[in-house]
This record gives sequence, structure tokens and C-alpha cells, in this order.
Amino acid sequence: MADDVELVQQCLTGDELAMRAFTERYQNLVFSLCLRMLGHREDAEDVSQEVFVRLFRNLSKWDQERPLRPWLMTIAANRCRTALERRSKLPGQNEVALELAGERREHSQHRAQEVDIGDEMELALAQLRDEYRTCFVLYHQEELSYQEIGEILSCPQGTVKTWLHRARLQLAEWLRGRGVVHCS
Amino acid sequence: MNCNEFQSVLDCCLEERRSPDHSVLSEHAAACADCQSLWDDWLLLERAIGEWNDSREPVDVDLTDRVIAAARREGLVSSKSVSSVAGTRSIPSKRGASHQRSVWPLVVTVALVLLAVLIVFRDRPEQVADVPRDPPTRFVVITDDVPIPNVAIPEVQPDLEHLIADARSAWESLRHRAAEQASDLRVFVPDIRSDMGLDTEYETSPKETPADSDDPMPLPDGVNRAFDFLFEAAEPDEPQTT
Repeated sequence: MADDVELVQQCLTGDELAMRAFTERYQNLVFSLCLRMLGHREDAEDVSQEVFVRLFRNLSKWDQERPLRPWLMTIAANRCRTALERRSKLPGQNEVALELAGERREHSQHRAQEVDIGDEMELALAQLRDEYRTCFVLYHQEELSYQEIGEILSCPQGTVKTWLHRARLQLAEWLRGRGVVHCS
Repeated sequence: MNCNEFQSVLDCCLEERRSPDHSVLSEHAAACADCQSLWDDWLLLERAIGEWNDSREPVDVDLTDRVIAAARREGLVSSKSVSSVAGTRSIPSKRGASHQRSVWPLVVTVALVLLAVLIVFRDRPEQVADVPRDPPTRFVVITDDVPIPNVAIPEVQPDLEHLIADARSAWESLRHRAAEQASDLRVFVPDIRSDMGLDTEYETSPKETPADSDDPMPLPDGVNRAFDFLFEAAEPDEPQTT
């Protein structure tokens, strides 16, 4: 926390070395979230870059009494949602994404002769509403609490619980429909 | 365990990120179709999320160069800091250039306005001179030998005397011109205001000259009231001719 404050203060002066250090410290966190949310490496890189630039632009607004990580995740999640909205407005983008995911799954099946649940999960996540997907990724991948997710998405904890519950239901339904079953 | 307790246990396990006691929950699920469905979903997702997280490729990305380049374009990197990108324009100079770009149109505009004002005021006497000088029915004759009031001038330095003489000359010239202008304006002031129902004191627009009125018309009473002080100052001893 103290390190973050010092680093942020250096970044606020426009110190390039400090900004490089800041980016190196948090780029994996931001990029992995963007990759999970967007399911596309180049898009995730572009959005991650946007996240850091936006963050440097607004660093002065960060409340230094609060941890930096949730704030950073908020910016990243919002950027991802914006990118997803932008993508959904492009004609045929969802279909293309589904086709790519399907091809990847078939290739994976052919290779391993079994369903790759990781790929199925990616495919299923692509079907979810943006807020459901964001909730699911933040909770199950980033392991944030309901409260932290609520702060990031600017909604009450009850809403986060509801969204997460619906996301899980839809994912389970999708997986069952794809022939994925649990091994008891 | 009833259905509510079953549901509650699953919710707690999800929130606390722990695995439930399978034997207890399975026992209840076997006796309840709805809870069996919930339990199957839970087990399916438990496995799927585990594999999904395991399938996550290790992140191997280095965004620092592109982030710094983008931040530099946004003007967020100080020029004083170390620059690793050769030939990149520093932020202050970029801002300065932008500032200069925004100031130049203003400077040019102001210069053009000043130039226009100078041209207008420089040409103004010539424009007045172009006004057709029809013989007025009433005008003021002003001669150059206007008597100068006999005022005792105290002895002063020669420079001051020149200044006073210049000021007096300027005043005479101004008075002369003003009286001339007043008499010239007469040409454009027809006496139609009473016909149009306009205020006879102030309406003097030349646009209201009737088409068939080629000859100058006599000034109505009151129009020259504003110039009276000039006539009195310029011609204190001579009568006005009509």
C-alpha cells in the first residue's frame, strides 16, 4: 500500500520510469481480467492499454486511503464492458466469436478425444450478459468479494449475488446442453 | 435437512469459497428432485470452474512500451523524465504548439479588425468630400479670419506657447469642420417628417427622401438645434444666411 502511494505520487509528476514500474506491477492483473472478459488476446491488449492510460489520467482522483487494486479493477471491468458493448454493436461479431470458439473446441476434441471444459466455459461465458460475465469473472477468477464487486460495478451486494447466481445457472444449463456432465 | 437449509448451505459455501459436505447434501438431494437439480448444477460448475481456472494460460505480456507511448501521446509523461523513445516529441512542446496554434487565428483576427478600422477612419474625410454639395438653402459661412478672443496670455516658455497656439489652431479647425459638416447634412434632411408622422426632433434618415423631391427642402425648426452651439461659436458676429 505504501509502495503504491509512493509509486502513484511519482506517476503523478509524469515520471516515465515510475509509470513503467506501475505498468509492470499491474499489467498481468489487468490483462488476465481483460483476456477472460473479452476472450481475445489482441482486444485484451488494446483494452489493457486503455485501462492504464485512463488510470494515469485519473490518478489524482484515487483516494490514497483505499487500496489501489479494486480501483484498478473497476477501471478494467468498465473498459471491458465498454469494449463488449462496442463489439456487440458490430454486425456478425458474436457469430464470428462463436464460430472461432466452436472451431477451437472441435480442434481440442479431435486432439484429446474429449470435451475441453475450459473451452466450453469460455464459449458459455461469451453467451452471458455483460454484467453476469463480469460478476462471474471477478468472483471466480479474481476472487473478489461481493462487496468489492459491488463497488466495481456500482451496484448493491444483493444485485451482485443475483447476477452471479443467474450466471451460474445459465452456465450450468449451457454446459448440460453441450453434453458436459460432472463425474460423480 | 430441509430444502431451505439445503439452499442456504450452498449459498454459504459459495460466499465462503469452500466445498460443502457432499454426503449430507447428497442425502437430501436424493430425496428431492428440485434440490437434486441444484446439486447437479453445483457439482458440474465446481468441476467446470476448476478446469476453467486450470486452463488459464500463464499471462505472458509486456505492455509497458505501448502504454508509455500511448501515455506520451496523451501528454501524461513529463518531458523531464527519461525518454526511451528516440525522436518522440516532448509533451510541453506539443502543448505549446497547440497553444500557439490556438492563438494565431486570434492575433490575425485582431490585426485585420485594426486594419479595417484604420482604413475606415482614414477614408472618412474623403467620403464626406464626395457628398454632392447642392446649394443649400441655409448654410453657414465661416471665414478663416475668425476673431480670436482677446485673452491675456501669461508669459510662458516658448514650448508651451507653441502648444497653446497649436491647440487654438486645432480648435478653430475643428469648429470650422463641424460647422461645415452640419451645413452639408442639410442636403439629406428633407422636411417630410411631419407627413410621415415621425418625431420631428430626431428622425433624419436620408432614406425617407421622396422620389420626386430633387430640390433641397428647408430645414424644419429644431433639426439644427443640436448644432446651434457650433454656429454660435463659429459665427458669433455674423448673421446666418438663408
